[in-house]
Amino acid sequence: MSKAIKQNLADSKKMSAELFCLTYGAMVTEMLKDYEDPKDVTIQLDKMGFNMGTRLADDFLAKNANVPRCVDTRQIADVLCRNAIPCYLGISATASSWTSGDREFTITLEANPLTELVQVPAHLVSAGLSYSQLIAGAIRGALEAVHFKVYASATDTGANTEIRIRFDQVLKDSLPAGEDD
Amino acid sequence: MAFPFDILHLEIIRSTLESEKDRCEAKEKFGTIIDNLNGPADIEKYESLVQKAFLHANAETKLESIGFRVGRQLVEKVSKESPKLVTELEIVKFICKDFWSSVFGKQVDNLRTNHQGVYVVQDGRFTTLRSFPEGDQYVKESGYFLAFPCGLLRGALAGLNIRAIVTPTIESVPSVKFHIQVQPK
Repeated sequence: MSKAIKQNLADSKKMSAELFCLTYGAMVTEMLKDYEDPKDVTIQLDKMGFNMGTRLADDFLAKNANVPRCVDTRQIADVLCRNAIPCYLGISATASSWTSGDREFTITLEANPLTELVQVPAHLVSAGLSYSQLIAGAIRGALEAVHFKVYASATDTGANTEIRIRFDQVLKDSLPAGEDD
Repeated sequence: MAFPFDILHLEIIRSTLESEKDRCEAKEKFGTIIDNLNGPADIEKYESLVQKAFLHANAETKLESIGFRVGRQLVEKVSKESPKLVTELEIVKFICKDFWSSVFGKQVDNLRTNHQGVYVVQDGRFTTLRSFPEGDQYVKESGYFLAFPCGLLRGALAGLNIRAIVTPTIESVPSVKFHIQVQPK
């Protein structure tokens, strides 16, 4: 019985890409009606992405027992681009444009499934809407779940999506008195 | 590959419920100032408050309309390879088999009709409720998790030229009955 339930849960995660992307698009459309300022929609997308990211980190680590604890930013970028993004978006990604002593880098998605069926009007982009900010928020949330504080912002160009990530700090648990790390 | 639809759906529900709370607060606030209003010029000062209080849909309607839009688009993709669907019963059967399999991961368990435009579709393990504990503990909360699927089904039927009202019934999670009432043209 427990095995059957797990199998069903695994099956239910194989939802089509189209269901996910169309749902996202319909949701953004609805939010643009609700908020007067496209900047507020971007903030909301980032917040939703953050919440999703904290859950996805658990899901990802449960499925990938071989992913080691990361000790530097290049290793984190490698895991994101080779494992996490292909796992949940079905596309490859590359890290580049390292600056600030390897504390800042850009993840480039060559074929973002979220924007594949979408034409975002230019006036919304110039007014502050970042259509793919959900992905950036998810990365921020996932990394915070494993104790890395980062800032992430997404920019959709004509051909691809770029997510600029800036590391802030490593978060420490506060341990009870007398405990050792 | 596992697109995280369930987690996205959860966040849409959370975000919609937060907006609902904002809307209720805006209504209360408007209630406190309405006695002092004198004519259109005064009302214009509170335009954004009025919009938030009265022009925004409630949570279920918002979720349902998102689902409607998605359903109408998805059914075009799913039905692209299918033979032409002629009768109303053929369309409903297509929804229960091919569409349900593609979108919800399995076929429905039972379809009944009175042949007068009412269909009852039962799914014993409905996809958006599978992560809930089984039983009747969360029957009340599960309503929000069915608004989007109801819209999806209504949109799919609309895409195949059937105008219908779709409502869910739950007696025990995760078993759901969808009532489809076809509207006259």
